[in-house]
Amino acid sequence: MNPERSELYVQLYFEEHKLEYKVKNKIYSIKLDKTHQKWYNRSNLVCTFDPIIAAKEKIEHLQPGNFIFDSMVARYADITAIGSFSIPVNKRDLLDVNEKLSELHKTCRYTIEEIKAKGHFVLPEVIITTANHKYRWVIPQLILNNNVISAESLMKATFLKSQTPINFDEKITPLFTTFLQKELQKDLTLAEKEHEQDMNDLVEIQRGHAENQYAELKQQEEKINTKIREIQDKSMNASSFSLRDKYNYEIKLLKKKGEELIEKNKEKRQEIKELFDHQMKELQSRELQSDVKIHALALIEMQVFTVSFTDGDVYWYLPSLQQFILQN
Amino acid sequence: MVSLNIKKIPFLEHALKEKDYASPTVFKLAVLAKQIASVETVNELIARSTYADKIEIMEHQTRTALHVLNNFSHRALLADEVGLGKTIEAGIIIKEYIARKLADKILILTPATLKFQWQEELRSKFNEHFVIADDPSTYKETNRIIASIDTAKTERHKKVLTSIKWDLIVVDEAHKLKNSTTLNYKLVKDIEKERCLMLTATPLQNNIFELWALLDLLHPGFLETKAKFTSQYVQDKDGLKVKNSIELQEKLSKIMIRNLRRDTGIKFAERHVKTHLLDYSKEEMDFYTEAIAFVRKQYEEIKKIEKDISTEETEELESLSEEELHVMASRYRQKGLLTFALIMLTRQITSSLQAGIHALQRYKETLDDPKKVTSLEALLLRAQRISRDRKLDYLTKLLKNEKEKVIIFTTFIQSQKIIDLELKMNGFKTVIFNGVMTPEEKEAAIQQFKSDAQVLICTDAGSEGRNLQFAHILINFDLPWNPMRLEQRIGRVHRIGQKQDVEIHNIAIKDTIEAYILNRLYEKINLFTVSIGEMDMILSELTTKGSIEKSIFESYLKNDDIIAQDLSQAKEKVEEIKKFDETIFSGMIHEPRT
Repeated sequence: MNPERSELYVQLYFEEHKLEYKVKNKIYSIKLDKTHQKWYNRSNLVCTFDPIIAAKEKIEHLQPGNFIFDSMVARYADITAIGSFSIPVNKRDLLDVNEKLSELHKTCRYTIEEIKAKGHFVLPEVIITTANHKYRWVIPQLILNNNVISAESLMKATFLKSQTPINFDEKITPLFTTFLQKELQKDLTLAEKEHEQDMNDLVEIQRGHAENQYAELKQQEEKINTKIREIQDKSMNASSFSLRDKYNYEIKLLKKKGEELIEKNKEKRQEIKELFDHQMKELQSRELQSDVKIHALALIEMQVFTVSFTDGDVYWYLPSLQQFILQN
Repeated sequence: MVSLNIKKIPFLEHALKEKDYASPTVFKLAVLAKQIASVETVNELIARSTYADKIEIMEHQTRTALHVLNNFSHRALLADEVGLGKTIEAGIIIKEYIARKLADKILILTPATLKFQWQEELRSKFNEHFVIADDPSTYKETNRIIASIDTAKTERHKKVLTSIKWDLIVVDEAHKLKNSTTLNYKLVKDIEKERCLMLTATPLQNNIFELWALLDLLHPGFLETKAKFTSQYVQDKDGLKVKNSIELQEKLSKIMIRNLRRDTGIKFAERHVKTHLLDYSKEEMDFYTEAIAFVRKQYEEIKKIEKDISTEETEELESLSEEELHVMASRYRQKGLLTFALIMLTRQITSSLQAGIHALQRYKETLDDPKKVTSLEALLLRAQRISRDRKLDYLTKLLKNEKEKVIIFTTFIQSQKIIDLELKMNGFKTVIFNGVMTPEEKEAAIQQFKSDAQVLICTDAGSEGRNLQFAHILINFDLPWNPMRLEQRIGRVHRIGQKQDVEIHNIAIKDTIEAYILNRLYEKINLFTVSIGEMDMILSELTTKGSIEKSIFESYLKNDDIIAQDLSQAKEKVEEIKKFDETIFSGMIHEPRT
C-alpha cells in the first residue's frame, strides 16, 4: 500500500470531476456533486489518508478496501490510456541540477547543456501464473534515449497536452522487457521455483493416492489368498474326510470370491487410472505462464540537462524524476 | 528463467491508430488506478467497489474470502455454520476472481430450489448477472451460469458441461455429494475445472467418512485413501469417534473453513411467535367442510391412477411462483399427476375466500364429468354467498393499533389482492410485491415500503432473495405447507443485520388443514424457533420421500401422524449431528499456509 500514491490519485480524481475540496491538518472536506452524492449517499465527504487521524476523528480513511476509495479506483482501473504530453520547464530545474551534482561524486570539470528530449512512458503489467498462484507487478517505465528508467514518481510532474503524435516504435519493447526481466529477476526465479515445487507436490499427492489405492486393492486380494492358504493347511491336516471336505468347500468358495474380487478390482483399477489421468491432465494445464500487458503508453516531451564531464562521462538529468542517467 | 511475453492489447493499437489521446488527468488516473488495483498479495478486496450499494459485509466473511484467496488457491470447502452467509462469501470470492482475471467461465451448481435465489443474490448484492441454464447450449454461449445440479447431471446437459473447461465451479449444498455412486458426484468429478468452491453448512451428517468422501471429491488424495484416513483418524467403525483430532483439524484447515456462530460475535435477534387461531363463521365452516369433502373424494379417485412424482420434479415445484405453479398444474394434469392440482386447490381454499373461489373456478374448467361440475358449481355458489372473510377481518383488527412497519405474507396473488384492497379501505398505506412484477417495479415497491408505506404484502415467489430486515414484524396470512418456505419467509427479516427481535404472527382457522399444520407439525418441532437455516438440515433428514406437501396432504386426509413423527425424528437427528460436529470442528484455527 502506498498512501502517497492514493492521495495523488484522489486529488486527480477530484480535479477531473470538478469537486471542490479543502485540506486542513490532513483532513479533506469535499462538497460532492449530485452524482457522487447518490453514489456515496451523502452530500459532503470528510476524509483523510492518515489512519490515526481517521480513527481519532471517525472519518473515512481513504485506502484500498475503503468503499469510496475503491469505487473511485474502479472507475479508471480498466482504462487503457494513451497520450502525448509535455512537461513544462521550471525555473528551479537548473538550480536543482547544480545542487544534485554532488551525488555523482565527480571531481573533474563539466559543462551543462539544456536540451529537449522525447521519451516513451510505458505502463506494463507482468502476470506470472504458477501452479497455485498468480503474481502481478505493475512497473511504470520511461524509455529515453535507449535507457529504461523506473518512472514511479513521474505522475507527480505537471503534464500538458501536446500535439506531437506518438509513434510507438516496436524496437523499444525488447528494451523494457529486458528491464523488467532484470527488475523482477528475483521474483521470477522464486515464482519458477515455487511452480516447480508445487507441481511436484501436486503430482506426488495424486501419484501417492493412486498407488495407495492400488495397494489397497492388492491387499484385499492377498487377504483372500492368505485365507485360502490357511485353510489349505488345515485341510491337509484334517482329522476326518468330512472335515477335509468342509475345508475344501470353503476353499472353493473363497477361490470364487477371489476371482470375483479380481474381476471387480480390475474395474476399480481402471477407474483409479482414469481419475489419475484426469488429474494429471488438469495439472498439466497449470503451466507456468508469463504475460506482459501494456496498459498505458505516452509520448513525453521534457526538458533534460546534459552534464558532460571531462573524463568522458555524460549524464542526463531529468528534473521530473530528479534523477541522473548515465548515457552509454 | 521464465521469459516474458508481450501480449498485444487491441484497444491500445486501436487508440494509437485513431490518435485517441487522453487528457493529462485521465491518463494519470488510469496509470495510478492500475497500480493501486494490482496488489500482489490479497490484503484487500479489490472488487469491493463493484458490489451493489450498501451491501453489508461482515468481518468473518471478509476474513474467510481473504483466507481462501491467499491460502486455498484452487480448491476450498466453505462450511460455515448455518446463517453466517456462505453465499456472500462465495460471492466475494467470485468477484475477486473476476476482478483479478483469475476466472471468467464460471458455473454454479445448486439444488433446483435455490437457483433463483443465487441468481438474485449475485445480481442484487454483487451486480453479477448469471444466467440459469435450462438448455445445454447456454453452457457454451454464456460465461456466468447457474444450473440446477439435477438438470446438469442429465445426459444431455452433462455431455456439454464436461466438454468445457471451467475456470471456476461453485457447488452449493455440497453435502449432497457424499455418496460417490450418485450421478451428482460423478458429474462434479467429471467436470474439468481450474478452481472449485464447495459450500455446505453440514459437512458432517452421519459420520466422518462422509466428510472424507466430500473432500476426496474436492481434492482427490488430500486426505489420502479412506483406509489410511481411517487408520490415522478414526476410532470406531461407524466413524463417530475420532482420534488425533488436533492433527486432523490442522489437516482440514488447509482445505476447509468453518466459522461457528459463537466465534463471529454476531448477535442474532430472537424470534417471538404468536399464533392466532380463529373460528370460521358457520357459513364459512360449512363451505370449508364441503370443499374438503370434495377434495377427499377427488383424491380417492385419482390416487388409483396417478403416477409417482419424481424428486427432481418436486424440487422444481417448490421453487416456482404461483403463476408458474398454475402452468405446471395443467402440464401435470396432462401427465396424470393430479394430486398436485388438488393440493393447490386446498391451499387456496384455506388461504382466503377470494383465492378459494378463484381456484374452484379454475378447477371446474378441468373437469369433464357433468356431475362433478354441478357439485362444484353448488360449492362455488355457497362460497359466493359468504359475506365476510374471517381472516381478513381479523387481520384488520390485528393491525389497528400497530405503528411499526409490517410484512404480510401470502402464497397467492388472489389473496394478496384482497388483503391490499381491504387494508386500503381501512386507511392503511400498503404496497404489494409479487413474482409477476418487473425488477424495476419490485425495487420501487421496496423503496416505497422503506419510506412511507406501513404494510408490505408479499407473495413467496416475489420475496425470494430480498432482504427486508428493516422491518421486524411478519404476519403469515396463510401458511406455506413446506417448512422451508416458512423459513424463507422468516429469513427475509430474521437475518444478520436485524437489530430488533422478530415478531411472527400466524393466522389460521381452527379445524382446518392450516391448524393441523400449525399444531401437529410446526409447533411440535418448535419450527418457528429453530435457528436460521436449520430447517434445511431437518428436511434433508426426513425419511418420507417425495414432496413434503403431498405427505402433509395425505396425512391430513388420512388423519395420521406419519409426517409429524418423521419431522420430529429428523429434528432429533439434527441435534445429534450438531453434537458430533462440535467434537470435530470446535476450536479449528485457520492459519495461513506457509
